[in-house]
Amino acid sequence: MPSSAPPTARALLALLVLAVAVAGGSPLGSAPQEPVEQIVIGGVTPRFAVPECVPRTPDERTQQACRTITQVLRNDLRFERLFQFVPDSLLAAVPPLDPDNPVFEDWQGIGARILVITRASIANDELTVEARVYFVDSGQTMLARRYSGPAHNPRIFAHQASDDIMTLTQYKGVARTRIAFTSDRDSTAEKQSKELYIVDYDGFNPRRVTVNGSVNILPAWSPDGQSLAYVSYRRVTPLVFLARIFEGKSVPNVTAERGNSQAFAPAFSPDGQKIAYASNRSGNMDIWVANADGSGTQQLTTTRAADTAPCWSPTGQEIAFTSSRTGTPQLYIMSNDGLNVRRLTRVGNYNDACAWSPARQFSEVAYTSRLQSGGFDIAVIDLATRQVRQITRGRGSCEYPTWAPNGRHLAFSCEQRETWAITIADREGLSLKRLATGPGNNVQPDWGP
Amino acid sequence: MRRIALFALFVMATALPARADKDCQRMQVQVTALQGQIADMQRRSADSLTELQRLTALIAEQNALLQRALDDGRQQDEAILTSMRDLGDRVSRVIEQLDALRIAGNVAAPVAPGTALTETEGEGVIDPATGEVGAPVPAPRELYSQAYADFARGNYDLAIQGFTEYMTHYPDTDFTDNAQYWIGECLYGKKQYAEAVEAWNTLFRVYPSSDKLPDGRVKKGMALERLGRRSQALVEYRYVVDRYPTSPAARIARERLNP
Repeated sequence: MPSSAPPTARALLALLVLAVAVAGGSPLGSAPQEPVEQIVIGGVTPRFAVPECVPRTPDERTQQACRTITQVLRNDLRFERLFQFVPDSLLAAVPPLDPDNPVFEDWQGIGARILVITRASIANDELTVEARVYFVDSGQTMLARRYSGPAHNPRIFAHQASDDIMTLTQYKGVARTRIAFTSDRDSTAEKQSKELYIVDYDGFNPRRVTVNGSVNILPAWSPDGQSLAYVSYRRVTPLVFLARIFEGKSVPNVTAERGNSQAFAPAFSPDGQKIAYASNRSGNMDIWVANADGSGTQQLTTTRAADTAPCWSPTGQEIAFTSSRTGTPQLYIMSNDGLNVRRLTRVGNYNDACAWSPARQFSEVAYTSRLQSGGFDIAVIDLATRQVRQITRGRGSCEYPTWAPNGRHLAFSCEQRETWAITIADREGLSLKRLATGPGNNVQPDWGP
Repeated sequence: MRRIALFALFVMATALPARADKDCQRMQVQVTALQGQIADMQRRSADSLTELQRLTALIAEQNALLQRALDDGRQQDEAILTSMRDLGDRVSRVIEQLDALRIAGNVAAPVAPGTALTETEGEGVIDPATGEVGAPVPAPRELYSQAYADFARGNYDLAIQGFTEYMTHYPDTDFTDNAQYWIGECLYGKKQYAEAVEAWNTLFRVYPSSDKLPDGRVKKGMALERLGRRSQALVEYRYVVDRYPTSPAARIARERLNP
């Protein structure tokens, strides 16, 4: 990448600025009330009413922004599968909403427990969105926020509001997260290439990261969301590169491979201080770790079998990886210094590409598994029970799982009708859907912060 | 008489140069011989040097082969060790499952003839002090895995509690020593390095034949280094290199000895 920020990077930078502005959403001053209750997940599922966003001004642009905010906020909240929602037909039965003085009896009457009211206005190309969350039974305000920023992307305001509402539960929202992936969409007949792209978690807002026309694969987010480590063939030999996406800079050969040695499958430690990766610099493909700047390389495995595809535990104390040391590729776990190696998977004759759930609530590892002959599926092993649950079945071949930062969802790539697409499911394997991430074969997702 | 004396003088005068010539010739022969010897020695020396170089190269080659064989051996040992551990784990698991089945009454445990049979009711544990039935003890694998899952997600206190409970209820399984090892890991994760050292010392003392000893020794060394006690850490690393030279832990110990 050139040192000066390319248009894509500039756009990303602008988005970051917007994100920061929105992230600084302030509590509303007009009727500030401290959140009084938490939304308890478990038992009776709380029933949400999310009426249409109310524009403060009647202009078409504000109304359009309001429509987008309503739709995106509803989708974001539904995505978590934690809440029930009052159906649209009942919402329509409620008398017109006065956002400043909601009549809670109306909402109680249609069975709502939580009421989410949004208002929007645009002035001088700046969008201001107010969001209030009420506990319908008591009429108490659970959350009140005001967000403002450039008006060109109202979606991000809804994402921010959704994540703020999720703070009322014990789970972190993912509405503002992004997914990086590899795609051949810009490949031509003359030049076969694979580049890295980023989309919002819901598949919107695709952006290209690499522009070198070579083969760039296996993206891995840094925990701060500022960088992507990936494997690039731009120097013929596969090496780990680092893209500082908001600076438009690229650091080549981060792990300082020499001669013909290759490096694959980078993975940042949860604190962002280390990178684990596979390298054949010792003459055999083994797991190595290095500091994030490439210094202090240390070899962790030394068997004659190929050891690849490392992934970190949420504490950073352990690393899982793929090894064929006992014949077929299986997952193993070791401590982050190479000690205490144990086999993790036993079911399936080919297990690869681990992804350790980052959530404190769930102790589980997702991976690509060939349970029977034929294609690959996504499986998850629960470390507490050692039970394996199959996430995909009969969807063609699926591989490269990655967890959402809250550990409640998985993304992976599946091949259907000879095309690979990013697919999303929740951690139980329900609610599978293909993400509309754009044309081409879209593979190797990595769900970032 | 005088003539005789003069003749003698003449003879002597003529004989002296002839003798000098002979000496000279003898010396020349000797010099030639010496030159030959030196040339011979030089030739032999060159031959020896060539032979020495050949032997040195041969030794280096043999050393390389030996090193490669040693490395291969270590790698094979590591793979075999992993497989053995895996096999051991699986056997232990089968035994645990059998035990669990016996407890559930599905499989009758072998009973020695004449042994009195007792009935067990429910799955609760009777407190010997009070005679009351307490909460049921989870199956060993369940308890162990849950404790490990707590470790993996950073719930170290819960994990220590789980592993301790495992050791209390199942003091004689193949995983009891592992549980003690993991307590050390939990304390290391909590950055309580002195306590981690003590936990691993307990492992060495109580389970002297544990397969976790090499790893435990190296981890103890690492904890000692965190405490600023590098000289004591080196002792642990040297111990592992000497005692378990082909173990994966020994490779890491060597790296720690020569950072």
